[in-house]
Amino acid sequence: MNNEAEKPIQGAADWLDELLLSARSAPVADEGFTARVMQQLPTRLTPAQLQEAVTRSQRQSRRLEMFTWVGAIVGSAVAFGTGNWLNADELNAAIAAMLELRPVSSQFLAPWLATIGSAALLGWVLQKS
Amino acid sequence: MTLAVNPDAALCELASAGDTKAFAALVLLHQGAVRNQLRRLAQGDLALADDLAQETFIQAWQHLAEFKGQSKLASWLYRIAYNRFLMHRRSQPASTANQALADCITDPSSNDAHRSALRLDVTAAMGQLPETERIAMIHCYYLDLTNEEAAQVLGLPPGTLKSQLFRGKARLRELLAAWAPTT
Repeated sequence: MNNEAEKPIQGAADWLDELLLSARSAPVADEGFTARVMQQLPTRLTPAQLQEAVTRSQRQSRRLEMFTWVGAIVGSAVAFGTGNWLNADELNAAIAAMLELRPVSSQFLAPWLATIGSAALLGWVLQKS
Repeated sequence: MTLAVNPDAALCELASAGDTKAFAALVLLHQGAVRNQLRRLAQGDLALADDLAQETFIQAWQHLAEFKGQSKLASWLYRIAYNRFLMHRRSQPASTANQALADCITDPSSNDAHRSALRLDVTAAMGQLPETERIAMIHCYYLDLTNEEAAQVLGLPPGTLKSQLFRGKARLRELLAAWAPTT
């Protein structure tokens, strides 16, 4: 302990303190340890490379977001084109049925499935590219 | 050049920028302290201690930019090493290796019979302490840390560390009574 004032048991001449300090071992010799660490050192990105990786990731994320929106819009347009959208009463009934885990009409599900499917497909294509 | 003023700070700056030679110099400067800490924590299991020390320096290399110089570099390294040790302890049962034996093998001064006997007795007594008290004693007596620094390394409130030291020393006083000066 190198700070005598902080010793929990007062008395600089405490025999136990002296005993413990004198029982310290000799400094550990390197014996090739540093070389072994340096051999194992993984390559680390420089700040510039790190910034580039972050920028690339952000760009990809923005592209994914854009394609998802495009997919959703295209899917909605396709669904709208089929003319199968429900009116408000039918929509409420379908949602209630879904919440009660009863079968839901395909007329309700089709446009939504088309929308989600288109977005997922475009997202997947983007990821692959 | 600030190297002469604070070698750690200058070397850290260079190593953070990717200078592997500066990092090698840091490892060389601190390997003895970190390996000593881990040898004591691992109760003399030298292979385990060196494996953990290696992991410690690799982790330090990967996170060196996060070291802001608010504490000593040695304390920061001790903290990483202690966490590595705790992670290892959670996954593996406690080692049964003997610190005293390891010390005698590795310490060139072990031919000094009195010193060797003292070290054996102290190590045996330390081995009988509860782990929390033993770890507190190791960090305060063998690693040149103040109580406050040791508390930071161990992630303990200073008061808790002091209690552990107090209890540890009280127990050691009994165990090492034979070494007490006669009045």
